[in-house]
Amino acid sequence: MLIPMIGIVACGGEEISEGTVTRVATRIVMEELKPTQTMVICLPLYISGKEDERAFVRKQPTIIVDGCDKGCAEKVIKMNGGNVAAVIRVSDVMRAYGLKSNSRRKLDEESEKLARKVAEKIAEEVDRIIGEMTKQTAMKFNI
Amino acid sequence: MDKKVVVLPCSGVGKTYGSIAREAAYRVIEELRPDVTLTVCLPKLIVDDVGARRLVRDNACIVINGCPSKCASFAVESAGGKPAVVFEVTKLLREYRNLKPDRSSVIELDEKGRKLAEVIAEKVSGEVDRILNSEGV
Repeated sequence: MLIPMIGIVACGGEEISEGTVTRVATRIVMEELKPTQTMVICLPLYISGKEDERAFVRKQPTIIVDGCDKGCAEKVIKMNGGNVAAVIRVSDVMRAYGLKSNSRRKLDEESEKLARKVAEKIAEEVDRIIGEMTKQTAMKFNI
Repeated sequence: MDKKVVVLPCSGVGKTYGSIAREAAYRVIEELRPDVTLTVCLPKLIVDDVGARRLVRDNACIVINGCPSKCASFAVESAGGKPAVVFEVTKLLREYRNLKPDRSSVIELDEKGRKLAEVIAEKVSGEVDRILNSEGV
């Protein structure tokens, strides 16, 4: 039986401001919006082969948060057989809401708004995935 | 392109040490040595991004790892680069015990975290100068 705990992987790319947005959005979800249902996976640790991170992402549904259309975090997780349940790209959220990401070092007001929008999208996906897990469990045990 | 020094910090989101590494890197790249340094996304080094891999192979790299896992070093080496200098935030913390940051200050560093980042940025800038002044670069 799957435990209702969702992994979140942020690309965290330090070259672009969208990478900073992925980190901030992920922390908003973990600290404020879904603290008991999510776990942040450190992508560099995952990349360097840390077994705890690898095992979690293999077993539990994971939401990928990529900064740009290159989709590096998604590629890395899929390359290693991760259980990808949803992919959110900051660049898509920017286009959908007409928001920009302006600084990679410290987010300004507009970029913070963007980070919150991304966090809300992640939280929606967490609800959707946990809803599906609950439904599957109910069907399995005929509840 | 003229030779540059690539400054690659940890991009981890779980601990405050990664945030200190990044703040130090940005301080070097944007304020202290803006014309001769740059950074690259760590995940790009893993997904066969030719430009990113060439960048770390053809230029000197200074790595700022957050913790003893040394993931940023691993990423540079995986891309065929060899870090010229490696810093580690947790190691430097042993030297600057008075600058131990609040562990929860991941997104917004506290004052001690910012100070430690400043110290590291100065050290990195010194290494940038040394590398650029040395022969062969």
